[in-house]
Amino acid sequence: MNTEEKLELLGTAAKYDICASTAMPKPRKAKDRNYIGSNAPGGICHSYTPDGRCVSLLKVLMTNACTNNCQYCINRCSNDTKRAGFTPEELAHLFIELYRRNYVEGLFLSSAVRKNAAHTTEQMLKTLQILRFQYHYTGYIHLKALPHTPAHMIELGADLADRMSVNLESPTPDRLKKIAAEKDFMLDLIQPIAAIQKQVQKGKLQSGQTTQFVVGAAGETDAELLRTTSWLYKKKELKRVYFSAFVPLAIPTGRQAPQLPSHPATVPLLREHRLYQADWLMRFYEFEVNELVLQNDQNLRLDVDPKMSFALKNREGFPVEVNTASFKMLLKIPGVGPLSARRIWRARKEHRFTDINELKNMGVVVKRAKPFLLVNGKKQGNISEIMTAKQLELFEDQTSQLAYMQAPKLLT
Amino acid sequence: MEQEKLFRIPEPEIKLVEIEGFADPKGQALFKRRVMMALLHKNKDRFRVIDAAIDQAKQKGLSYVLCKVSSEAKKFLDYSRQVSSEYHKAVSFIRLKPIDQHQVLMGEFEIRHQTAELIMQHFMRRFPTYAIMIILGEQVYIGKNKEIYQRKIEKRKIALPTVVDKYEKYWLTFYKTQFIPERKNLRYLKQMIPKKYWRWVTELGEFGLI
Repeated sequence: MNTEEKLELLGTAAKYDICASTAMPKPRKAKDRNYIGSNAPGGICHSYTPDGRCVSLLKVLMTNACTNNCQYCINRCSNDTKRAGFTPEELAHLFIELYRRNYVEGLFLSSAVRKNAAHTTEQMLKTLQILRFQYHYTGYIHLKALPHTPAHMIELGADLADRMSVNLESPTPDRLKKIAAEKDFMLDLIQPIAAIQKQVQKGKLQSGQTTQFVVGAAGETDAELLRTTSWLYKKKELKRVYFSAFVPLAIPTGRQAPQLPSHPATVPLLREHRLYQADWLMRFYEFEVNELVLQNDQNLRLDVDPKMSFALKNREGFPVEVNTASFKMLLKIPGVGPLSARRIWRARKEHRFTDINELKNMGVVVKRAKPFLLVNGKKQGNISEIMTAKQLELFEDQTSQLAYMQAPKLLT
Repeated sequence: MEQEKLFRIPEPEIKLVEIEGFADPKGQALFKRRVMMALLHKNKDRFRVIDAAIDQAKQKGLSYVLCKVSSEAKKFLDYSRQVSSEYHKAVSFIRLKPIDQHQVLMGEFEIRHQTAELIMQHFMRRFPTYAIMIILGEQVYIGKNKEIYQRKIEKRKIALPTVVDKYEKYWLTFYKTQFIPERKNLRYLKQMIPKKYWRWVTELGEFGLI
């Protein structure tokens, strides 16, 4: 098989890994001027596919030959598909040539498990060593740690890569058993995550650690996903958690495992979107997981975004005076993002807001925010302007449709 | 290219002096960065816009301007953002063609603002062992050993390498593999990359979009 054929096969196999970020806070230091590569603090996207997703990394597998039989995965050993693998030299050379042409911003290296995790990881580390020491490459590398990777290999990976990740796939051990019977949730997944966390704490892996869930493959609820996500951020110091809606069509009809959803409509992309919104509320809007509003089936509402759901459920806490509200409270107002909240908070040290257009200039989405704020004591709008009475009823009837994970904390 | 026909980029007309009276050093640094970017804007009224922002900062405080409270501040920060955005798009979408016998990486793009120097610096930092040659509109910029040279060109006299590059083919193959048809969303694509830049993202042609 030639390089192009391998690239086609191993690129296709890697496309469901979501992470495309290339942000690095500080550049990797080079010993002399004989290096290649640099980074942008905010990352760079070099292209986009017609699904709007950014293509910034050469995202490939080292090999798609696998000993595991994970039901959701196209590379599972029981699936009748072509198998191939790069050699470390071949992959390193291919990457450098694409990087030199400014097609990609970095390398994302993952793999199926050939023979065992140690053997495959060794090949991946060899590729990284060629890049770092032979080509003197100082740009971005994201290395995927395989389940059951030995700790010393994680340590070496942390020296060579800028970000590492382990795909959890499911939020709980029981859910994981349904789709990947061979994997042990704690031993194979949480343990490597803890090992990577130690490396991050030592100051390595400046772009941190991430993980990914397959949404909808194991029948998990949003509540389970968000609780595990919150735990990962707080206890394991993850930089980011990604959600990927399960796409059944990736595996040809007839070869699909019977326990998995068979039609894409069963896992709407909107569910993935709502999970990301909830994730952002926890990361940037100072929301606690128990403040997120869920339906009785323990999923987020699809028709109203999580922040608006929170505001409608807590209408007694609104409207808030923009000139005096705490920063945390500003973040709770729909239409006010972290940037505009920071701007309001900074500007009002030297200025008193009297006109809602001033907030508009600062990036506030006034149409959404109006019902929930007061400007200099004046009310700006009613909730009925943005929600129909029928939609509001759902939030008023506290016993039927909606339930909190726990009792909500009172806003102060 | 003959060395004598090249000339150095002139020093900027305006040098920023320390702005006195502003207490917050972090805010001051941010404000200076914004001014530097706005200075590179194509519109001739940029000086008036910057002056108005500085006056407002003196009267009402730095935060008042940096937080875009007034329409003058908004205009000033919009100028700064437009320049940053152009720079960001250029370093994203310029494709470099290596001419290995001369250790040269060559590319082309269109710019509206005065972002040439920023773009050149980015690529010179990234590929310090190469000479960088980029055609930006009617100017060609050459960067080597931390120096940047500029010259006006007639485009038809420039012969870009026409050799079929196998890595360009590899790139197109890889790019096509990354699309997930079940997620097709052209509206999102247009939001992420405005149509005016599509001509530079030639691989979109693989899906019949250009």
